[in-house]
Amino acid sequence: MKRSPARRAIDILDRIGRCDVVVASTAMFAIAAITVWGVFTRYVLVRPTAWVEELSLGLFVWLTFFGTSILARRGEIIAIEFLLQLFPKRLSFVIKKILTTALLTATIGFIIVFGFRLAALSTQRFTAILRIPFSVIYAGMPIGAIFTLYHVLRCAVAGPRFYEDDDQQGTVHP
Amino acid sequence: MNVAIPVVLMFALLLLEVPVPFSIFISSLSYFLFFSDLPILIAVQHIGEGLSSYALLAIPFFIMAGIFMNYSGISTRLLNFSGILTGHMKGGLAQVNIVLSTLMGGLSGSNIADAAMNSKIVVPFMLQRGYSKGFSAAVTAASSLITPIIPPGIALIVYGYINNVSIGRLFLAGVFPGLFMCVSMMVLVHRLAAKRGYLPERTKRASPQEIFSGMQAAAVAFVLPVIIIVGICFGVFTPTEAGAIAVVFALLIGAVVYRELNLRRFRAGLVESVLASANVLLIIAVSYGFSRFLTWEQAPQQMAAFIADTIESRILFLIIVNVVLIVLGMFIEGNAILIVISPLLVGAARAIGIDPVHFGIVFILNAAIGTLTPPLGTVMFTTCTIIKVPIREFVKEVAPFWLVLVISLLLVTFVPQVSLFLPNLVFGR
Repeated sequence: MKRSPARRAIDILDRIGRCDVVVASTAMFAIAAITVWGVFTRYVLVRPTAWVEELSLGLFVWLTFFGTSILARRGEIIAIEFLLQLFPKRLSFVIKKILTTALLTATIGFIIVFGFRLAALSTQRFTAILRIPFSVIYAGMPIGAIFTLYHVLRCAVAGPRFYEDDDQQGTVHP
Repeated sequence: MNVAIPVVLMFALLLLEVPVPFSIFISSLSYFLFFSDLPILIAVQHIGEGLSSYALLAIPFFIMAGIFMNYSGISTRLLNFSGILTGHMKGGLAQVNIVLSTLMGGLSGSNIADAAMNSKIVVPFMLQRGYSKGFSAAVTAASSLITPIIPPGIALIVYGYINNVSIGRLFLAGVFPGLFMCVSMMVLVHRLAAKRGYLPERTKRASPQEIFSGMQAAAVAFVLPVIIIVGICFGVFTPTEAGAIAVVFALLIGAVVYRELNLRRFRAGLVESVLASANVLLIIAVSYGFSRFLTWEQAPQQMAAFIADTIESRILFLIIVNVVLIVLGMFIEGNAILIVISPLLVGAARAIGIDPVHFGIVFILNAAIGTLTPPLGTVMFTTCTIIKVPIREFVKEVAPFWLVLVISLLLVTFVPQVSLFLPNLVFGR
C-alpha cells in the first residue's frame, strides 16, 4: 500500500520525536557517571574534578525537558484525576481535550519563544571552569519544549500512547 | 489580591486535570502578566534557575537507585530475607510486605514506586495463599508510606532543599519514626491475621544459620543505607554524590555479583528512571518561580506573622497543621503540597519555636497519609489499579492501618525527641 506524502512526513516526524529517549537517557547516564567520577577523583586520585557540578547541572536541564517530552507522548505527565470523573463523559472529554491541549500549547509555545530568547541573551555568560556558554544549557528548554509540543498535539489528534510498542512494556511509572 | 488570584487559578486548573507542572507554571505566568511589571522573560529564566541546584540531583539518583535495585535482583533477595525473618509470624506474607517496604526504604525513597513494586511482587503470592484482595492492597499501600520517612527518602531531600534545612539531619530524623511505623503495622497485622486465620508461612522460627545466610544475600540492603548515612553525616560526600554511589552500587551488584542485569534490562531501567525523574523534576522546576513570586509578595512572611500572632501554643499550631495537611493530602499530589505549602508553614513553625527538622518529618508523614485517602490518594490509586480492587473495598480494609498511621503521626508530632534524638546525637544541637 502506498502511503501519502503527508503520512510519510508524520512518520518521519514521529521517528525524530522518539529521539527524546536517547537525549534524556544519555543525559541521565552521563550525570550519574560524572558525579561518580567526581567522588573518585577526590578520594582516590586526591585531585578533585571541579567541573563536575556545572556540567551535571547543564545536563540536568536537558534531562528534564526531554524527559517531559517522553512523558507527553505517553500521556504520563502527572495530573489530578478527580473532578472531571464526576462530569458527564462527553463534557469531561471536551474539557480535557480542548482546554488542556489549548493551555498546554500556549504555555509550551511560550516556553519555546522565550526559552530561545533567554538562550540568545546568555551567549556571553559562561560557566566558571569549562566556559560552557549558558545559551547551550538553556537551549535544552526550548528544544525539549518543541519535542513536547509536537507530542502534545500528536496525542490530541491520535489519542495518548499512540505508539505503545515504544521503549519497553509492562512497567508502571509512578 | 496579587497572590490570591494566581493561587486560585492554580487550584482551578489542577481540578480541571491540567497536568500539575503546567497548572503551577500558568499560575506564576498569570502573576507576571497581570500583577507585576517585571519582564516576562524572568518566568522562563526561573525554570532554568529552579533546576540549577546541585542538591536536587540527588532526586534522580535515588529514583534510579531504587529502580535498578529491582532490575538487578536485589529486591527479590530482600523479599526472601523478609520471608526468613517474618515467615513464622501469623499473616506471614503480610509481614513480609511490611518488612520489605522498610528495607527498600533504605534504598529507594518513593512510596508510589514501593507500592507498585510490592503490588507486583508480593501481592500475587498473598492472593495465592488466600489473603483477600482488599487486605493485600491495604497492607501494600499502608506499608509503602514507611519508604519516604526512612532515609534516603526523596520527600526528605525536596523538603530540605526548599526550606534550606540540613538533608543529613532530616535523613537521621526519619529513622526512628520509620521503624516505629514498621513495628506498629506489624503488630496490627498480627492481630488481624489471628482474627482471620491468615497462617504463618513456615512452622518454625528461622534458625540463626538461616537468618545469617539470608542476610548475606541481602547484605546490600543493610550496607548501602549505612554507607549513605555515615558518608553524609561525616561529610565524606554530599547527598547528591551518595545518590550516584547508590546507583553505581546497584549496577555493580546486578551486573557483577548477581549477574541478572544485562544491557536490555539496563536500558529499560534507565528509561524508567528518566520518566519517573522527569515528572518530579518538572514540578520542582516550575515551583521555583511560583515560590519566588510568593516571596516577592511576602506571602510566607505574612503567613508566619499572622500565625505567630494568632496562635501562641505550639501544640495548637501542630494540630491545625495536621488537620489542614491531611485534608490537602486527600486532594493534591504529595510533591506539589511539599513544594507549594511547606515554605508557607516552615517560617511560622520556626517563629513559634518548632525545630524545622522535626516539622519536616511531621509534614512529610502527614502528606503521605493523604495519599491513602480518597478522593485523590495517589498511592491508593496505584495499588488499586495494579491489584484491581474496587476503591470501596480498599477503603474499608485500610481503615485500621490508617488509624495506626495517625497514631504514629501524633507520636511524631507531640514527641519531638522521636525525630530529633538521632540527629542531635550525631550532629549536636
